[in-house]
Amino acid sequence: MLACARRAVSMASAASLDLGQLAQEAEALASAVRGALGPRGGQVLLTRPTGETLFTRDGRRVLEALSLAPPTARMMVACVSMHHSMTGDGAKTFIILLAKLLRGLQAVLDKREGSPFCEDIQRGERHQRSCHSLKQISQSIMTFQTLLLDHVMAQDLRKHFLSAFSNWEGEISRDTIESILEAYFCGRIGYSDQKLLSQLSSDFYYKCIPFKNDRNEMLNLVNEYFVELHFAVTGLPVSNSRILEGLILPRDFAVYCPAGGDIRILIVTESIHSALSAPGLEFVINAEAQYQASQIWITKRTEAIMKHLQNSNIKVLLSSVKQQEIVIYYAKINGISIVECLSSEEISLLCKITGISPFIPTWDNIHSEISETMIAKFCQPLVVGSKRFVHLGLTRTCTFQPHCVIFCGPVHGVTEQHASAFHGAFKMLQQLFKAVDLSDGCEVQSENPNNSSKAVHCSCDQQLKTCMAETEKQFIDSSWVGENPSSMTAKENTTTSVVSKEITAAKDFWKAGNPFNYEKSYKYTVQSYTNLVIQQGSVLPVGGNFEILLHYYLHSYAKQCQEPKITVVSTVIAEALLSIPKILYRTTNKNSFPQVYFKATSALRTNQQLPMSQQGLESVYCKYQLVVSVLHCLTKLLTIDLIIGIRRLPQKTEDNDSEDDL
Amino acid sequence: MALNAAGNDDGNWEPPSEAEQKVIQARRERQDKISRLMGDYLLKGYRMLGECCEECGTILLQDKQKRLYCVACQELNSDIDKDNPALNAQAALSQVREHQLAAATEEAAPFGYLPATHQQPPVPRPEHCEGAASGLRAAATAATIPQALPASVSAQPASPLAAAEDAILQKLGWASQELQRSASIELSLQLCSLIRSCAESLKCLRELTPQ
Repeated sequence: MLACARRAVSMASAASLDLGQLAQEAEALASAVRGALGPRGGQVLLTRPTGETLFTRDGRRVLEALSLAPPTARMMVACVSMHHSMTGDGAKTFIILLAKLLRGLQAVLDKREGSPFCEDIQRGERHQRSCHSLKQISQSIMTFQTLLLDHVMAQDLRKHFLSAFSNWEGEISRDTIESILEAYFCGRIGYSDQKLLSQLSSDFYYKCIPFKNDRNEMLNLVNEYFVELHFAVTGLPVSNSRILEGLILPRDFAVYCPAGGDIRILIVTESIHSALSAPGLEFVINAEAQYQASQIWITKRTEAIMKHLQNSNIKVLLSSVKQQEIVIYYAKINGISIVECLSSEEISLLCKITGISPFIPTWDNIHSEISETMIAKFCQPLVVGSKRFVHLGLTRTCTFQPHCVIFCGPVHGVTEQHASAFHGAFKMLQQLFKAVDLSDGCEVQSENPNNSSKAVHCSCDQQLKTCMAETEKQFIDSSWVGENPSSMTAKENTTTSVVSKEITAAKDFWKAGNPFNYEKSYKYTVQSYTNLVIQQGSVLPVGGNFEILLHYYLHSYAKQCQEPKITVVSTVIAEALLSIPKILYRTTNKNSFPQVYFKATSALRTNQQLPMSQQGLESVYCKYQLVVSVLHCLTKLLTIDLIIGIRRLPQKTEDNDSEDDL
Repeated sequence: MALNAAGNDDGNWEPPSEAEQKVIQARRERQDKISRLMGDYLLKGYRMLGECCEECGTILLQDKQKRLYCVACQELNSDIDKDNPALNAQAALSQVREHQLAAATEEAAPFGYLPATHQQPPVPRPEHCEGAASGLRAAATAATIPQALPASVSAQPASPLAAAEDAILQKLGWASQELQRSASIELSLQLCSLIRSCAESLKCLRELTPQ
């Protein structure tokens, strides 16, 4: 392995990391997508090297379609894609923020040789010095992200968050969901289709998830099986897109026998007409007669199975493999419809929804009762455009009400974009209901706000306790403090009991009536009763408010911070954050960026709420996750020592890890 | 500023002087322009390479015919390095001095802007960027000159339009005399472009006068 590594390196070219070049690459990528950012952004027309054109507003699609040679640029695009596939949000914002951060760091390093990152280096050549300072920067950034970001968010930003829930039980009003979804689609779909898609997605949400109890599981299911839950049909206008109840399978019936009433359905994953022998077995035939006899026996067996199915009142067979002609013949005789060649994901979705498992006809259960069946209200062919589907209407036997979305569009590109934006919207909704815990910095996925007390850690920050105590005084009557909470689990020490007392007291307070009803249905929830940095369902009005808030509080933190490295990093991050609202407000005259910024900072200085100028809400968790991901990507980039270009991948003799390759 | 709180090597750090600030500002604008152009070319299907241009350090692009292209060198005219305040501190200082002079004498001085936006006639360059570069140049020239004039005009009432015309005509005469006398090609080229700029600004001035 050493020999071939040496051979590989001998035809390689090594280059050290140049922060200026990184910044340039990132800026070029950012300028390719910045025109599409925000609700006033336009579409991007992209020409691939092969000559195809792409007309889209989706940042990830644009970045992935660019042709890039430098490995660092490709790494940036890979980070963007990964972030987008996890959260469904923020590809353009990611790359713009990354570019500004890189440029800011380069300015810091260039400004003076005596910046705090070059302090500890006495001598050594310039290259070593710059590598060292980059490593120090990346360390400071990680320190910032793990320790300070949560702290700043908990201490300062939390009081500005609104809650998407309209009452204590965690219900969300339809208006709130619609405004969140509208704000999401505003930045991703062309103007003409935004309204339709946001309407469609909120309908889909309410149809699939009628109750809030299993909301997270249901969202998870929708996101995991989204490919099976949506279909694209070209050749029809976009307004024909609709939601259909039940499950749609992209196949046609192999044999269709209409049936009424409740229909029993069976799933099979093997061929019913078995082969002469199974793999691994040897089947010896000595004469023609034996062969004929075996065939006849197998045919009779198939006939018996199909008869038994008919006796058990099975009307539909869903098969993941192609069944033999003989099976189809007997099915037609016995009045059983067959759908073949379903994909394994569809089968697993069906099993998950209905809770049954596939039926395997063996000698034993041929004559006994078949239990693993599901009941459907209807099972019929469906024609949309030029495609034929099978439409299954499942009964309400489970908590998930399956619905399918059909996207119509003039061409494939349009339907694909709508489908991926829709999928991203549901991923974003899934993120909306996540929470961030202060103590260990990792995410806690609580079911609903009532149970969050059980997930509370004992290690509350001292400042946090005082913050909680202060706000508690404002809102909770002192007469409740003496109550003893009866329903706390074990593992209690004083801090958890204090917190739980406040929670039960706050719960009673909320039941009595909420005096903080601001306009529309947004209720301002005081986030003082837990030590979650970001509560479930935290939202902020759109328009760069999160960035402006974080910028303001980071600046004020940096002013009183003692450590020079952290100060510099905080300042750079704070400045970079402003680039987002600058772009968002670039085209407006009335509400230009300096005005908005001035209004916001003067409101913050006097401890008031931010002026809410725009409709639409965005999830705080998504924004927070974006900042964290950008910082992670930045540290990964800065810790690269050497970029080695090789012409061929090294032969995999043993396990080896190659750095980067052409 | 927060940076001043850092370390004990800050004793001799002063805020950048006005000329240095101009350089920083101009450099930032140049960077922005370069990244915007690069983004446009990337969207057109050009490929970003891993190498940098030797002269200016910008990342190279490669088109479908595998030809190399440097955005800064071939579109932002680095031939006039010595006059571009982004790349030469001397030019920045002289530009600041000229501005101060112009403000002091209260004369509409569109010339303050002209030397800095000298557009050199094209030295032999690869053909494929001819179109883009010349288009950009023409747009840049046309953009900068009217930019200069409204600034000067809005500062004072309408009479200095006539003063401006006189000044331009004077300079035109001086330049044509110098052109007749000059022996070096460089100087002649510069004078020719000066004359062209004078003519264009004269045309704009005449459009502005309400007649």
